[in-house]
Amino acid sequence: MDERESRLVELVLQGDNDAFGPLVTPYRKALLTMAYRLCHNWEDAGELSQETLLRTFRYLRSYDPRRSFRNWIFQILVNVWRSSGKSRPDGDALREWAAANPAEGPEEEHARSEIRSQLMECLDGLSRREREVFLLRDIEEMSILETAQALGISPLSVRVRLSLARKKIRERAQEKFPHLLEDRR
Amino acid sequence: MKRKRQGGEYRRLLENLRAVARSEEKDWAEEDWRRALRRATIGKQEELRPEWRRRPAWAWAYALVIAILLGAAAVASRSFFRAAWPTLTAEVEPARTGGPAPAGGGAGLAAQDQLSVTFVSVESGLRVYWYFDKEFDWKEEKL
Repeated sequence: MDERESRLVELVLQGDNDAFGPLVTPYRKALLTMAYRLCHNWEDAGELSQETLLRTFRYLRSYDPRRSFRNWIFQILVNVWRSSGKSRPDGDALREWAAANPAEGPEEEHARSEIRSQLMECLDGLSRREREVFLLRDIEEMSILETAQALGISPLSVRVRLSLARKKIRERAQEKFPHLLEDRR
Repeated sequence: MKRKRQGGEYRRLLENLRAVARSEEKDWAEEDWRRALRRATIGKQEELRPEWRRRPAWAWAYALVIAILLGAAAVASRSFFRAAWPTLTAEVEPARTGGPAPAGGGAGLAAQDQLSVTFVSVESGLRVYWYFDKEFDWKEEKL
């Protein structure tokens, strides 16, 4: 946690609610996007993020400043997601996502949109626990220890789930989207 | 070799997925964000207590009553079973010399012709001796 964040946390804890905005604003995009990757639905992602902000404020007193504030928020988000049951890794979610992100305009945008839907399909092959680990470790690039802390599990469990998740994703990509395994540069 | 190839494939896959993930980030509408912050800061702050400490008082009261009832039931059942099946230990041994004469007044029987079973109550110390002769007629003595 940097000095600026420490100061803002102190201010919020002293009752200055206006300091909460600057404290969480750097993570607003990451929060919403992560919520969306977990639940595959922008509407639910908004609700999850809202609830996460609420809990972040409510439990700020119990925040350990030695930890990364970003990881702490992600931990709250995952807990909110787990308790909400907003998980729809199914064809409906994909169709909804495709409708909300129409591929229009240049060919490049179309290609990118294709890959996005393939990414979602790869994630759909994962169980809830594997997806959490994969997103935090491989997409958000957290360390094994940070991922374990965020999910409240042991580093060994992270390694086991991550290994399963990677295997499934690789197999799915090999089977359906072999071009994703090629070097695109 | 195969492992290395798979590792390389996965690295490329991951790069592609990360690139897509970065490109699909979405931001809040300003109004939504302000509303979310307002809603978040309305509530009061509290310590994050462990789950078990968040139980309401009535839950603790119920738990206490159930524990007392279970304790009482355990004590009652213990005394009941003790009364029904007193704790006894039994030893089988050759009859003590000087024990009572076996049934049928068989005076003069050698000790090896008799068998005694001794029951000892752990609680009261009461000893009950059963003596059998070769015909398994028995006699009882309490000490």
